[in-house]
This record gives sequence, structure tokens and C-alpha cells, in this order.
Amino acid sequence: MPYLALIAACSVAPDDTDAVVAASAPVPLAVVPLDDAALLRRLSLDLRGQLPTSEEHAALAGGELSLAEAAEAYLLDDAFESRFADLVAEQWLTRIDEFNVGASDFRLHESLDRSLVEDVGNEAPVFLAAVAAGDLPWTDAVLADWTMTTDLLESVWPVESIDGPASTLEGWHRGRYTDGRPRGGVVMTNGLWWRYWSAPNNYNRTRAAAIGRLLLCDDWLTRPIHVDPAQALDVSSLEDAVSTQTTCVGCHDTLDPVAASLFGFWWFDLYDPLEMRSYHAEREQLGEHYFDARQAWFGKAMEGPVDLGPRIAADPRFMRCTVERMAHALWRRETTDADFTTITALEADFAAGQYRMRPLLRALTQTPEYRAGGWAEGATVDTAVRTRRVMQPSQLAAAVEALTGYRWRQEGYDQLSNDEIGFRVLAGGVDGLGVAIADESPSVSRALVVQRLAQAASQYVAEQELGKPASERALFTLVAEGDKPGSEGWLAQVELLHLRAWGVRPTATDLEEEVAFAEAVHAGAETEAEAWAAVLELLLRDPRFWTY
Amino acid sequence: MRFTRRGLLRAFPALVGAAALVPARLRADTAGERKFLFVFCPGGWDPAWAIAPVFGSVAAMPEGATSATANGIEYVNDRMSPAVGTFFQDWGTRACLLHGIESRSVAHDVCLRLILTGSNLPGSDDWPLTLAALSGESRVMPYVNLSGPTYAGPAVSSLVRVGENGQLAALLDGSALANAELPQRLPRAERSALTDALLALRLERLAAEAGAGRAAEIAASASLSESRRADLVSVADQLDLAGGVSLSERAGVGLECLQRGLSRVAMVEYIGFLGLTWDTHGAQVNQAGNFEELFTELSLILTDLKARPGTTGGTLADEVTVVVMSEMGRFPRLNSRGGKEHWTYTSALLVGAGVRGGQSIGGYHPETYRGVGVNLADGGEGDVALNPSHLGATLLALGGHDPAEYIPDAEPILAALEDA
Repeated sequence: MPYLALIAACSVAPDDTDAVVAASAPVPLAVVPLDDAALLRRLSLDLRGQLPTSEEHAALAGGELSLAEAAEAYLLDDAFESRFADLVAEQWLTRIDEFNVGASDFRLHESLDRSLVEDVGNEAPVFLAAVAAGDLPWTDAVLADWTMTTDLLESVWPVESIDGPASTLEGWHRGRYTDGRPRGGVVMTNGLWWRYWSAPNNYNRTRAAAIGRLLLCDDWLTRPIHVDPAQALDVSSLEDAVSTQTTCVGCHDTLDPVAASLFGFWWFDLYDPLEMRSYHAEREQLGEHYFDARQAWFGKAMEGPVDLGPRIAADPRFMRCTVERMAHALWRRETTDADFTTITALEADFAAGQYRMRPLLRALTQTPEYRAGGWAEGATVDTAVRTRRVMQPSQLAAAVEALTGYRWRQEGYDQLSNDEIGFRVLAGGVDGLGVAIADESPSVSRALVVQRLAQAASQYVAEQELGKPASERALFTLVAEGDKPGSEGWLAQVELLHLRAWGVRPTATDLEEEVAFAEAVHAGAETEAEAWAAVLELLLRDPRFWTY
Repeated sequence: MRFTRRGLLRAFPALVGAAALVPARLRADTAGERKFLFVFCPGGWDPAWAIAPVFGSVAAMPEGATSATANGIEYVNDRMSPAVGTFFQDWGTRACLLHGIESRSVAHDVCLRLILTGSNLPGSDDWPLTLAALSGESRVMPYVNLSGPTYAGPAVSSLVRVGENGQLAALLDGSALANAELPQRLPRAERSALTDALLALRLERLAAEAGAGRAAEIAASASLSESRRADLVSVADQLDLAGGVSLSERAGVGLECLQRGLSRVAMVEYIGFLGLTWDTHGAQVNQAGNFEELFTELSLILTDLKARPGTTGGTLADEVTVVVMSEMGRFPRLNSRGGKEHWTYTSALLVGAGVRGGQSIGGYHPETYRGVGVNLADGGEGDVALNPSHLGATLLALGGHDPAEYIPDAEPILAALEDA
């Protein structure tokens, strides 16, 4: 972790700082950057979760659009907010399929169960996305006195709508809790703590550890345990041991005072909707009683939970961690010590942009790690460098929908964002619990998901569009009724499909194969739409569509 | 090779006909390769409540329970969980308990990763997936995960997740499309065969032309995954991947995959009696209910194994090792709520093929409840503190692989191996 390198840097005399930085300067990557068209596609998929339009491809090729302009446009695109929420959710793991209580616990119809699960799981990522999309300083992530809410959440939680910038996310708007909880941005949201709840004898330590991991990139839980059982068993309980054993104190001295600040979220019954829905201001001091220790942030006393957000915001690890997490999101890999200098430079960019998210993302997309498309001849290949990335389920769903208008839903569930009846994990995504890291390579189940999605979407768009006049179509705009495979109109349409789906024009071999393929399909097809659906299915199942 | 019209039309009947044949990889010679069924108990079981009798130690034990021995295995004889004794009486000669494995943490997520991969680093393949990947490319779904945690890194193309409610079956039979809000029908078989054929050709070409690095990795993996997908579709109607409710029924689905040679490894999760979980901070008594049902179901699984023909003339029981494990153990003493907290030491149970049964290896120190050191060769007391890597190395050795190639920091527990 770069954080280790930071610690190393902190431990040397100030005069030696330059030497430390020089010593940790990265060896330049021997990578070949993506070509412009492929980079346009990567930027579009990463920053707004969708494929570039054919007009954007044409403008880039014609010199009317630069990559910098495209990146800027994508950062300002309406879809940016949704995409940012997806990136956050993949790391914060809040989009799980079940919480301790459901809609019926709030006397709502059980048909609202899924919607409630989605809204609860989305509160934290959508809030953080609103901070990013609103160009607010990232300190607001832990300082804001507002959250993002939906009508459904307002019907079960003590939260009310307030005026604020409109969200691009359907159904979401600004809100504010009315139960007296202090301001604190994401660390004062129900959504976060419904996901990271605490068992009775854990006393919020799990939650404090989540703060360390998510906001500081410092995970108490990954530190090795060195319990001396002889001592632990001598004290009246394990609870006492953590404050008396030298082997425990090293972690608990900092962990427990943070945990103590979270007792406004303490539930006496883990499955009681009334307990869970509200903040309990009267319990704020309860942790100090349990721990026999003051609330504090790494040695700095806190008056109460009201200080938690400000302490996090003032901790230099917070911004550093934000940079590392966003680098992870866009580089599609963990950052390491080798990234120390790059992360430091990005942190400077982040600061120069007043800690707004867009400048950080802009800077990240300009790094060689981000733009890597291949390896220079003779270079030592490092497969950890993601010269090619695999679309995550949310990208796959959005890209296919943007292309075909088809969204895979069943019984109110988005089938690529749940694992109860859907296929999120099978498609390589995370479920937030059993699978916490997305697959970065193809798999059998992913191939099946892609196959079925491609079949459904292709059939849907072909049948929807091909009976209409060309002027009313979105995808099959160049083909006319009766155009046979290999005809001028047919070839123009296939070229367009390639450009939209793969970001490149077809090669002569591609076309030759597809003409033969379409003729063979056409021979047995009942409709022209079926033959076109087959061609589009073929393109969508090809890695040149679902990688970037 | 190009996909020309003339070539395609000539090949068309063969392409379509090929879909009806048994996939080549199903005919591949994998007979004799040891297979694995993992039963995972998430939440942290308490070995002291059933399989690690530490009476007279610091550990709180079930009230009224005693120590008993069957077929050389000492267990906790508790009236609340008689199935434990029955199991060791019936299957103890084939069972080996490993005690005192230190998972180095008391956090569920961290312990899960450690016990299944031996490492806290992201991107590692877990033991089931490693074993499956070592089976080569000869199986359709080398590791079929029916439920339970997975850690997948480079070998993810060998992993097939079925989904918590058997969703893979809905993808295979196409009902996933028919039941969608915008329902779609599956393409005609002839069209699908043509599409699959051209896609396979292009994937092979991409893999050949991809050069080095990630692009090559993805292309090769995509080609292999697509090939396996096609094979899986061709045998899907012979499988009921969504079938079964109880642990033994779900495990039976996994055994079916092992028996047919589709898989080398299967995993099924057991979340406890009535789903009450193993994480018994507030109700230690639930451990008894969980162990009772677990061992009842394990007996059914082993009976099932004996009833299934193997690939080498005997029964599947001769070829499959059953691995039962949990990510952590539980603190020796009861807390104020009548439950037990997490503990960094745990146990695992190996039963079946390749296992030197009738023994318990390792143990818990009566005063500290730490794992006692083990002599890896004979299973007696020694100076090796067991950790998850020893478990992983043992599993690899059971699978016929050299653990040193994959786990440099730990040797296998040879005493647990029948052939050692």
C-alpha cells in the first residue's frame, strides 16, 4: 500500500524528503497507450458507463473533438453521477441483497422489498456521487448536513426532502435527517450503518473498522492478531482484555475511541425496525461507558459524534485514501508502493482542484496507467497493469441499454444488479458479502450472462426498430427493408454496428465473415429482424464489445 | 481459417449436428483424479461444542456433555447433538480432524480470506479454485460453487457460480429471458450453432493474435470460457443445478457434477439449523443444533457418495474427499449473553478419499486454548503451529499436486494423507 510508503516517508528527517521521493520514483511504464478511438471508448465507459456515440467517434476521427474535450464532456454528462455511484458501490459494498429488516417490517407491502433494499444500499454511494457531481469539496463527504433520499426512504426513515440541486438519478433528491443526528456526511447515514451493523459484543468496532478501511485505507481488521490467551483468560471477560493486554491495546487504543463515537447508531435489538430507523442521540455517550474511554480520533479527543466528520476531514490520510481509491477504480487494480510518487502527484492535483472530484478524475485519466493499451516491444510484461479491462455488470447493463434500449428486468429487479434472482455475481460483479472483489477476467457464468443478455437485447431492438421508418430508429438507421447481406445498405449498417459496439470499423475479414454468417442465418430466418438480431448478438458476445 | 459463405454453408449441417454431440472435454481422460466436495460453515463454528473435546480446560463445554471416542476419533458426546457420535461411529475410519489451525484474525471477512486462500492479499485464488484450475482445461465447470464464499483471481475461468438460488439454471434453459419484464425467446438452435461457431473462431483468432499481457490473458480466458459455456449448455438438460433444499440435497447436485466428470470441485454452504448461523455471540446453544444437523447431513452425503458409481470402477466415495470447515473458531469462555466471541483458532474435518482416517491431528492447549504444535509427519505433538496454508498444502497434496509449487510457506500435513 502506498500508505506504508507514506509512513516510511514520515519516519525520516525532513531534510531527507527529497531523497525519499527520488528513491521511490517509479520506473516509467513501458506501455503503449491506447489509440484515440479505444481511449475514447475507455473514457466514456469509465466516466459515464456508456459507449461513445457514433457521432463522437466521427468527431474524434474528423478532428472536431479532442480526447480532452471528450473527457470533459463525459465528466459533465448526466450519466456521470450514476457511474460514480457504481464505482463507489463496488468498493463500499453497500449494495447487498438483504438487510436486517424489510418493507413489511415498516408495514409496507412486500412488493416494495426490493425497492427498499436498493434504496438503502444506494444511499451512501448516491450521496457521495452527489458530492462529486455537484463539484463540492470532498470534505463534504464527511461534513455535509444533508443526504440523498427517495420517497420510499422518507416513508420509513426520519428524513425529509430539502431544496437542493436536482439529481440526475431518477427518484433521488436531497434530504435531511430529522432525528437530531449531527452533521457528518456519509458517516451519519442509515444506509452505511445498516450495511455495517454491529453485533452486541462488538460494540461498533466493526463500524469503526469500516471507517478506517473506507475513508483512511487503514484497516484495523487486517492487522495480525497476537492474543495472549493466558492473559485473556485471566481477566473476567474478553471485553476487558482488549484494554489491558499489551497485545490488544495497540489496535484497540485507537479503534475503540472511534467506535465509541458511533453509539447514536447503537441498536439494542438488531432486528427492530424502530431501533434501526432512527439515530439515538441519548446513546451517544454509551460507548464511553462500555469502553471506559473517551471518544477520540487517533489520540485527539472528540466532544461527541459531532466531531467525527471534522476529524476525518482534517486527517491527511482521508484525501490520500480518496486518491488511492479512485486510482483503484480507474486503473482497475490495487495501488501499491510502486505508485507512491504517482499517487502523491495526483493528491497534489486533487488539492489544486480544491478537493473536487472531477479534477482528480481528469488527472487520473491522463496517467500512463490509465491509458495503457499494450506493451512496448521487448518490455517486461506486467499483467497487473490493466491494458485491457472487463466491463463490470453495471457497465454492461448501461452500455447494452444505451445501444439497444433493452434493460434486463424481472419482477422489479434489475437482473445485473442483484443476486437474489439476478446475475450480478455470475456476471463477475460483487454482492457485497460473499464476493467482495469483482472478477477481472472472463468466466463461464459470465459468458452465459453475456450470451443471454446479447440475445435478448438484440432481438428486442431488431424487432422494435425494423418495422419502423428509418427516421424513427435509433440503431438500425442505415438499413432499408429488403437489403440483402452484402448489399450497400447492409454493409453500411454493419459498419455502424461495429463502430457503436466495438468502437472501430470492421475489417475486410470481419465483413466477409459476417456476410456469410448473415446469409446462412437469413436462409433459415423467419424475419429480417432475426437475421439482424443474430449479427448484433455476435458483436455483443465478442470481447471487443465487453472489454475496453 | 476464414468463415466464408461457401465454407459455412458446407459446414452448416455439421455445425448444427455438433451441438447434439457429447462435448469433447467430457470425454477427456480425467478418471482417477481426486475430486473434492467442500462444505463451508460461515460465521465461525465452535469445535469445542462437537469435535474438539477439551474437557478440563479453560473452554466452556456443553452442559452435561462428556468425551467419547469412536473409531479412534475423540468427540463431544452431547445429548443435544447425537448425530456427531453416530457420524464418527459410521464414518470415523475415513475421517481425520485437524485442530488448532490459526487464522490470525477475529474478523469474519479477514478470516474467510485467510482460511480459504492462506493469504490476506486480494487477487488470490482460493483452495477450491486452485484445485479446480489444476485439473487443466478438461472439465466443463472445474469448480462448481453452489453456495458459499469464493475468492477468485487469475483462475476465475475455472469457477462456475450457480447463484444463491440456482440462477445459472435459468440462464442455461433460457427461462431467464422468457421471465424477463420484456420477455424474449431463445434463438433457433440452428442460428445459435452458427453464432457459437463464428464466435469460437473469432475468439481463437483473438487469443492467437493478442500478444502479451492482459489482452492475451483475457482473450485466452474468453476463448476457454466460451468453449466451456457451449459444452455446459449441451449437457444442461441432464442437470438440475437449482435442485435440492437441504445441505445433502444441494451437495448432491455437486456430487452429480463430480460424478459426470463436469467438475473436480464443488462447494456448498451450510448456514446452520433453520438458518440461525454459526455466529453465536448470543446463543451458544445454536451450535449444538447446527452440529446435529450438519453431521446428520454429512452422513447422508457420505451415503450418497457410496451409492454413486465412480469413474474408475469403484464408487464415488473412493474418489472424493469431503472437506468441512469454518473461517474461525469461538473464544473458549461464554460471554455475558450466553454466547461466545470469535477466536483465531479453528478446526477442519477431512473425510473420504485419500484421507488417513481414525485420527485427530493437533489440538487445543488446555490453559491457553491456542493450537498445540504438530509433527506434520506423524501427526503427534511437534513444533509446527498449524495455519491455513498447511490446510491448503494438505489439500493440494490430496489432489496429487506438489504443494511447494503453489504454497512455498507451508508443508502438507502428511499424517493426514493415506498415501504418505
